[in-house]
Amino acid sequence: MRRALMLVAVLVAVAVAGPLVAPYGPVTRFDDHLHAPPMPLHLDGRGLYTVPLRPLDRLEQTFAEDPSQRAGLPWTTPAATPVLLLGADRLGRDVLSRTLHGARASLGLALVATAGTLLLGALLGSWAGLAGGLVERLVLKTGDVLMVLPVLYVVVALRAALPLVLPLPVIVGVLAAIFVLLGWPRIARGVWAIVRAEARQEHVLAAVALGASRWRVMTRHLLPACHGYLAVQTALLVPMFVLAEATLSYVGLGFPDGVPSWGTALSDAATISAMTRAPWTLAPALAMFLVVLVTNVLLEPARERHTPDAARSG
Amino acid sequence: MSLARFAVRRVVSGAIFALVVASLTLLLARLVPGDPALEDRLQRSPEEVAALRAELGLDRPFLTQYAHWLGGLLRLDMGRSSLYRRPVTDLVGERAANTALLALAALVVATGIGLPLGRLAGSTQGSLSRVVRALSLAVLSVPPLLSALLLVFIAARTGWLPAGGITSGGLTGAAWFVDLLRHLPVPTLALALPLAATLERLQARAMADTLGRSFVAASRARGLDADAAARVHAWPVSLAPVLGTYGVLVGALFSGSFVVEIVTAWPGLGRLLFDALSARDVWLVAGCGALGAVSLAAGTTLADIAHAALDPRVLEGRIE
Repeated sequence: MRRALMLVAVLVAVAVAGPLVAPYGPVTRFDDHLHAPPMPLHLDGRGLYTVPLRPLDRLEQTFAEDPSQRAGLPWTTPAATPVLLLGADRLGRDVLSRTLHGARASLGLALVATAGTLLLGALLGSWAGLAGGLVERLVLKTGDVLMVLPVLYVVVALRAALPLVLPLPVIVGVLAAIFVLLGWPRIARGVWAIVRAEARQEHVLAAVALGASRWRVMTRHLLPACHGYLAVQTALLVPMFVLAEATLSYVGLGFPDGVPSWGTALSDAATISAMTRAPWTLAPALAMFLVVLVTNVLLEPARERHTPDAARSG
Repeated sequence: MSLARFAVRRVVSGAIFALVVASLTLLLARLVPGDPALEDRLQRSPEEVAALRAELGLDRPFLTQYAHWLGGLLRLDMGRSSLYRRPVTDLVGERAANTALLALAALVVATGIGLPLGRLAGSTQGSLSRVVRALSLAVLSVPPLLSALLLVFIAARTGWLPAGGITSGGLTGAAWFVDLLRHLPVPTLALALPLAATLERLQARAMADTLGRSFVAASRARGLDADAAARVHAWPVSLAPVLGTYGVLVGALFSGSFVVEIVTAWPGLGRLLFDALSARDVWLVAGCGALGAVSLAAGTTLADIAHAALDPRVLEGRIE
């Protein structure tokens, strides 16, 4: 649980700090450096340095190192000599900067959607667990149907049903709402199972016997039992939503081209010719892989403990 | 509950599910802003637009359209696609076959890799099991979008296999089949690898759980060696909960194939739906939705019934 919360804190920090530490703007173009390869860092007695690139042939987009020159890190070098640590994309934009700027849209949306999903899922799940009867059946059945649906088909269909061009805040809201709609059943089912088991515990019965209101029983005695489960789910939902954003933007239904996000950067990079000519433009894919990998590695043990799945019920 | 009764109940709820999802897709398709009659940028006079709308049946009220569409569905007539100018039924059938081929191939590959490795990782505790586990976690972190991009990249760089599409075109007979087989690995692996890792983790956990149960200890006490006890007693029991997740996997398979189809240009149902949505092709969207819903319902229903047949505890309601 502590690991999960730390992970989420780190992701929030990346989303906030990413654009701040990016050496260049997300749309700053270096017209001499279309598809320039990454410039490696060198180390000698005077510290870290890079060797600037000189375009050889603009049409073929070939470059040569210019050994007579020496540049520092991108943050300390005047913008006249661009230092592109991860290379440049087809418009001559710094891939590192775009990946860092993209973190805000990608992780930001994922975090907003995660918060909404947890809220709705915990609310409906605990309501179903406490109320029982028709409410319980309705919540669980609806959740079951939603969980079987292939997520991406639904997301794409829902997004396509709305006007394509919308103001950015509306797009974030719409995407987050769609993610929440598809994400809550998982949380609701987990919370429902915990609340139902917890409601039979003696401390809860004692609270009820002492005349505690339903709200108090729920918030003070039942939901605290779900803390660990919810923390782990938070950390699992974020990478899921990051990927959903990437997929949507990749097919052109997520963020518009002008907004730097990992998805829009990928859709730029992911033609076969672009990929083979400039594989470094796939850096956002690496960023996504890292987010998911770190989550999986950190949370594997916790997931095994907290997932109420078929494998444990035998 | 008997198996037959369970099966009937699942089939009925599957049919209701398919009907509801198909109807919702049609509703969604009608809600999509834009008009298929105005979509292709030909200059049409207002009369021509009206005529086209009448031909597509878009001038009638929604409920009439819905009733007409449901009636047509019973005769396997889902209207005409305004994008491809062909009957939706033919179009959807062709593409669904491609998706089914991809999904089945991926399911077979994922099962073939995931279950044996999971059994291995779950029944031993040496460095081998740790390697399998680490590999699984790494592969799990490469969801279909990334695995598809990666494999397309490798295929394009090395030239070993065609990076996209389903055939090179213009071939017949055996040459066509070989060509199809050469196009299959990239999308299949992209879809199957994350799935194989999921199955491996599930199977490893189920195997470890089962090995810790008393009937396995009892068989050891009767003098069976560890290998035989794992093979004869634990393995079949540990399979049941894993097979129980296949119903949910069908949805994941559909979802994954959508991305893979887009990235690798595989002409399947997902791509068709995407094209139909972009072109505001109402009847084609509805047709994709209907067929997708039916396949999904059929897949989950079959998986659930198979699970119940293999594990009687499902029928007793002891596990969901």
